[in-house]
Amino acid sequence: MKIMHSQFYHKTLGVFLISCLSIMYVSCSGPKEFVSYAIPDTVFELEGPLYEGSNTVQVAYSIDVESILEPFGSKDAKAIKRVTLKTAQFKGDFDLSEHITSLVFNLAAENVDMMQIAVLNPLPDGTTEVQLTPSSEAKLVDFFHQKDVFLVLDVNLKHDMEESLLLHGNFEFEVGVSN
Amino acid sequence: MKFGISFLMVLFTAFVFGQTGDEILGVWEPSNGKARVKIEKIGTKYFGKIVWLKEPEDPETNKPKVDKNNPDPAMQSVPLKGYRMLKDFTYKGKNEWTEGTIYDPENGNTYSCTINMKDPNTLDIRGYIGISAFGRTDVWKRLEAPKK
Repeated sequence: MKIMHSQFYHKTLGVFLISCLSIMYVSCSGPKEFVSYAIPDTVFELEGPLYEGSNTVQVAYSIDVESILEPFGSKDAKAIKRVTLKTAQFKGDFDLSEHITSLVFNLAAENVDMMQIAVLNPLPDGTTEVQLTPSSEAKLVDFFHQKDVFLVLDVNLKHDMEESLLLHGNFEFEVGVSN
Repeated sequence: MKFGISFLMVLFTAFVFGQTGDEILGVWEPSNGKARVKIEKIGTKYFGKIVWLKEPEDPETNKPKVDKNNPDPAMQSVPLKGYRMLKDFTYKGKNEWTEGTIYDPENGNTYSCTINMKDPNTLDIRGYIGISAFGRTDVWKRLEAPKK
């Protein structure tokens, strides 16, 4: 009787452990495929007069989640499991270092806390185009579940400026999908 | 005398009930006077970034201070001047902004935070971990825009 009880106990424990491991595997399984998602030629206009120090410009943007998920036959944004910023490039039609000391790029959304995702400080001399260094730890998947986000650029100016300043941003994200 | 009291009551009522949340916008100074923080709005939320530092240069490097305590090494070159230390506050009414965080660049820690506007020129900024009861409140004063 005692042996039967022990066997039953071990069997039940075994089933329980296998169930737990299965649930953990399903819930923790990462993305199966990775695709690239680009936000090309986004215009950031800082309207003058501008003052020395940090100036912020924000652009509302809707992430095209459908185009990301279409190849996977899914419509549920939750199928997006991981997002990282691969490149953040800014261009101007002037020597950026003449006016700008640093650039910090952020993402913001209604239901997600704002996140710094790339920086360049200081800017190299004599260039009209710069690549920011992406954050190595920023987890951006929640922004891609939101659809509507704000691209927020902090521009640190060397000096006051009367005229407006125009920058073009190009961004590329790596999106991990699991359906 | 009666008129004076009535007038004050009208002013108080207007202050309490005429709020939209944007009253917090502007430049503020913490009690230690080491920095000035500009509160601005992005979307429907409120954020505050450092626009002035009493000691802008790091004495070790003689260069402008950066966020050297950021746990993300890639972001340790973000300049402190311009750093967004108040993030993601929503206006809850009754002169209270909640659900935000405050970042202490001196130790790299982020705390939960609530903001209470005591009067149009005074903010109680309460930073805490976990429960609001276990926290610290700092009083910030509004800086008047220079008259031209």
